[in-house]
Amino acid sequence: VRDAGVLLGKFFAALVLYMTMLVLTLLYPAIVAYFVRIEWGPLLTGYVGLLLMGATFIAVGVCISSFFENQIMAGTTTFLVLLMFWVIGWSGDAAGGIWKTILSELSIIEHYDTFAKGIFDTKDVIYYLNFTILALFVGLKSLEARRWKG
Amino acid sequence: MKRLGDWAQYAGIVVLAAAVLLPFALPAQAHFRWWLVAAGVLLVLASFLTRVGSYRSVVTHRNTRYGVNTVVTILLVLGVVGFVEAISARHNARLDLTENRRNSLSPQTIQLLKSLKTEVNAVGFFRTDQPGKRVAEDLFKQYTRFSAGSSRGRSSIPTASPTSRDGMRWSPTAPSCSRRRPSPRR
Repeated sequence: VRDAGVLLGKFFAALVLYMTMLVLTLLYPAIVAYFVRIEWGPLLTGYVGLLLMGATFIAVGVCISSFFENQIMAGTTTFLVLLMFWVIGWSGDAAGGIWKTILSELSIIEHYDTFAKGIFDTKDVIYYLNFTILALFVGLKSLEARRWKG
Repeated sequence: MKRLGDWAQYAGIVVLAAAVLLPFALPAQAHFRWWLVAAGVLLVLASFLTRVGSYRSVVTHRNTRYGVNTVVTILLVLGVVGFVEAISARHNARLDLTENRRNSLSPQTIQLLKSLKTEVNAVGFFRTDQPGKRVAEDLFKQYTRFSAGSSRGRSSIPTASPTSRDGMRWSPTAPSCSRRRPSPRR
């Protein structure tokens, strides 16, 4: 089995589990829709946003777990890294100027806001895809490094 | 020679640290920072030159070559990702799926923005915890996007009241606008 196969297998297995959990939550809007009329557009974008954000989280987790033998260390480090990318946008207001833009662009949660409002913006989709691809690529290189390190 | 190299390296690191701290410790002397950076880099480089012989065996080692190769590849991918991100931030497509398109500008507003002849600056003053701040920021971004650079908006924290010189009226919730003719310097 090749390294890429191992990495993608782990990523997609976790993603399918996550998607299953997301699909189960569709029960709630279905119950609400039975009684009142709901807007399906924002619901759709909200779920797409959650899927993309979840894929990013999983990719970061897979990447960081490739650095560690210990699952607890991997889990804790993943949590800290994701927390950092979550709160990084909060410091944007204090920084101001160009730093505000940069920090907001880096923040994971800032990009989800547009999805939550019912907007489908290519900028946010590309951000999550870029983040996922980058994390998976670093994870792949980390796995390859184990081989040549011996 | 090796000891001299060690001292040059330590001195270089100290000088580089001083360059970082200088604008905070002595803001008036901040213009010396780049001289310090140059001196620090030269000292560190000089220390490396004194050890070229010892580095040669490390560089030719298989692990080092593979490690450098991996780091360079990751940096290249990071650069490509950053480039794509920068392009997508400037040239994005937006689809408002709300029923009454409440997050989008009306065709009349878009037409008005496209017909702007003079530069328009809009400044809104908000507290950081004010919910309307995010809405206004999004509105400003859309104004800027459709006016092709004639309109610019920003939100600020009201640390001080805006002056009447700017032609602005402060309101805690609604952004106010002022129209100015472009400055001849621009």
